[in-house]
Amino acid sequence: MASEGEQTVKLVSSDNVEIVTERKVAERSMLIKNMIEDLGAPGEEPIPIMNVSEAVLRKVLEWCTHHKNDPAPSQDDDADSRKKTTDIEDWDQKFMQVDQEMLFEIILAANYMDIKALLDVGCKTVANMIKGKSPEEIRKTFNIQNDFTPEEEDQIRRENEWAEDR
Amino acid sequence: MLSALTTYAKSWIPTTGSSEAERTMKDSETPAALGLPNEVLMRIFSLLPKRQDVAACRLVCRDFKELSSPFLITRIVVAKRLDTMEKFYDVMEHPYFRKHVTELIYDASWYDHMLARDPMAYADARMSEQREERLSDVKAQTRQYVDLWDRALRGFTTTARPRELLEDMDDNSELSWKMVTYHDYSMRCGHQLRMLSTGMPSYAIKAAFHNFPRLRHVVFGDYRNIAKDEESYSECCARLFGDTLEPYGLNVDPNADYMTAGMAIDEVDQPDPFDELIELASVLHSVDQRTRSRFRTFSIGGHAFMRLPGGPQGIMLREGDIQGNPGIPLNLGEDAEPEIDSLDFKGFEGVQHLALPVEVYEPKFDLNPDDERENMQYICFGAGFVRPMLQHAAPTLTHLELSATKLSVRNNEAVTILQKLFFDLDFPTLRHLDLRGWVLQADPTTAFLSKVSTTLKELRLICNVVFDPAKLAQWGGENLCLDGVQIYNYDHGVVGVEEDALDEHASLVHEGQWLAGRQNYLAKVPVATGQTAPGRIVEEL
Repeated sequence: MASEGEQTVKLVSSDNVEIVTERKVAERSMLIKNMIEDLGAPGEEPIPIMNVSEAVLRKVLEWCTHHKNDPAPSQDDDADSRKKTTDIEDWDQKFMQVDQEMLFEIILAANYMDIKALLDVGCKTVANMIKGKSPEEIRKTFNIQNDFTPEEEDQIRRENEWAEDR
Repeated sequence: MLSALTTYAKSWIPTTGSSEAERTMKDSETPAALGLPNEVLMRIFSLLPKRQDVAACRLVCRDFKELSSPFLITRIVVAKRLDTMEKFYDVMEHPYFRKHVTELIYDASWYDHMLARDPMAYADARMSEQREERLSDVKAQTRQYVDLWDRALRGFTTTARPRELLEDMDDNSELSWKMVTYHDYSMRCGHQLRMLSTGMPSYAIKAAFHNFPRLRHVVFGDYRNIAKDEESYSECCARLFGDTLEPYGLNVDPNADYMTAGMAIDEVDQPDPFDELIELASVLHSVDQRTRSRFRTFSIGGHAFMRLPGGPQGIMLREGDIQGNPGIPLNLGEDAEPEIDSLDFKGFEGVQHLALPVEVYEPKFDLNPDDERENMQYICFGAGFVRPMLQHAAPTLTHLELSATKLSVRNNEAVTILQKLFFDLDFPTLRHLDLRGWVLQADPTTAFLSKVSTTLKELRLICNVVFDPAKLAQWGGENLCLDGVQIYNYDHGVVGVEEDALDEHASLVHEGQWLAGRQNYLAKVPVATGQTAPGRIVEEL
């Protein structure tokens, strides 16, 4: 019997395209990993990835292939979340250089397929797009309508000032 | 079979995520960013490092405001200052923002009673401090005066413009301007005295654990810990204290010789950060256990102006330098070491992360060179609180960072300090170990690492002096199963010969050995908190 690393699995995208990939790569997704563990017999039955189109699924698997040997994420991200950082490693940065629509598709897929590290990279990429921008610039970047009244804006501005440490 | 799988897959759709159908519908009517599920947007906002960015998001639209507001105020400060305590209680009484505070900074900065009593000493201190001066007011006044003279002399043929007089102006007005801020300093010092004597900081910490339901992290630091990101030191002081002299931070020891020179002992009634640390620990202990169980991380110092990752082992700072160097985290005072009751630190049970700087004193030359114990006690002055904290936290600790400042390799006792501090304790869950500024010998170090070999995944050894680093690295590769390392140390064999014994190439080779050729997960992570390795000055033996 082939070792776990060489086993392959068949994934089916939402637009019904079958993609064969290494089991180890696919198991970066906790969704797929749990399905394989619960159902057994990997590689025989195609696994449907309901919410992800072929183009996005291929992109996600590209990421998983590059990161297939990464250690399992540590369980306690308490302190990590306190040390806020939006640093992204070079390869991931290049990987995320896609149009906004694809970026959000990748984030949605990572969220659905439960790939925490990819979701993190995606969120950091969006956070970096927000950093240092004014509210108007953020609206422009993401095509968002301002739905505040001037009074509401004033109130929020006052609250923001009040929030500063003294 | 396929249909069974399909049903199964459907059951895995996260309830908070939007289904494809919903998304398609949403895409057509809402902007792209809002096509993301709420929990993903919150995750994005939680990553914004600056309050200013969160503040901007709150002004974008209603959805953004709703989802980013939890991250506007995540930390709260307790200090012996009126405006700080007002803000503390403002947030604590706020029905929304109090629910999202996760971090408490105990700011132990202190105003000097001696300066508050002595205007000339204050003026001297204000003049000698290293902050960029904000003399615009003074300059403006001088200009006004010069302009007035220009008008007064208009039409007169005299060439005797009182230039000399004007030349003195800057000096005089600068002094008087400093005296104006003296009044403010004295007032602040008075507030500090009353707050300490009534125990307000202790009440506040106790109240914090009961009123901030998400409070998990406690930092013991000073005003430099509340600097905004990318704010310069001068900007930080100007924002917090205006033109008034800033208080002392943890780097200034109220009991040091140069502070108490010329004073009778009973004149010294200064606040002592170390007393406040003990008080903080006992307040934590007194908080009821269920509430306290949220308390996860504790660190000392670690502010943006800390320059050194581990402290320059060979550098002995001159006393006068200490005040100006914001990098020394905590000076506990050789004569001030009170009896430490290990029970005071029982509140640290359950803590998972500890980051502690330890100041190590040099043995004095007049100590008995034959009495090892006496010398050892002297060296470990200042580190007295570390062991009891570690003892209580050890069973649950996952992250440990210990950095030494002022530890010198020429010190014979240096190699045994870690053994006496914690190598004999058991850490059944330790995952991440970060040691900086120590002197590491192979045998005791491997004996300790063997005990944590099943749980330890990340190891950072930075700016330590290591005996035979290659041997240690090889042992690590054979006996540990690490995911990542950062190794950047001085080789004991080379120290003392070269000015700068940090060898980048050797570091990389050793990192490879520690991991036995596995991929280094930490290699992708930049060295934490932007600290860079210091240049090293090796003193003559």
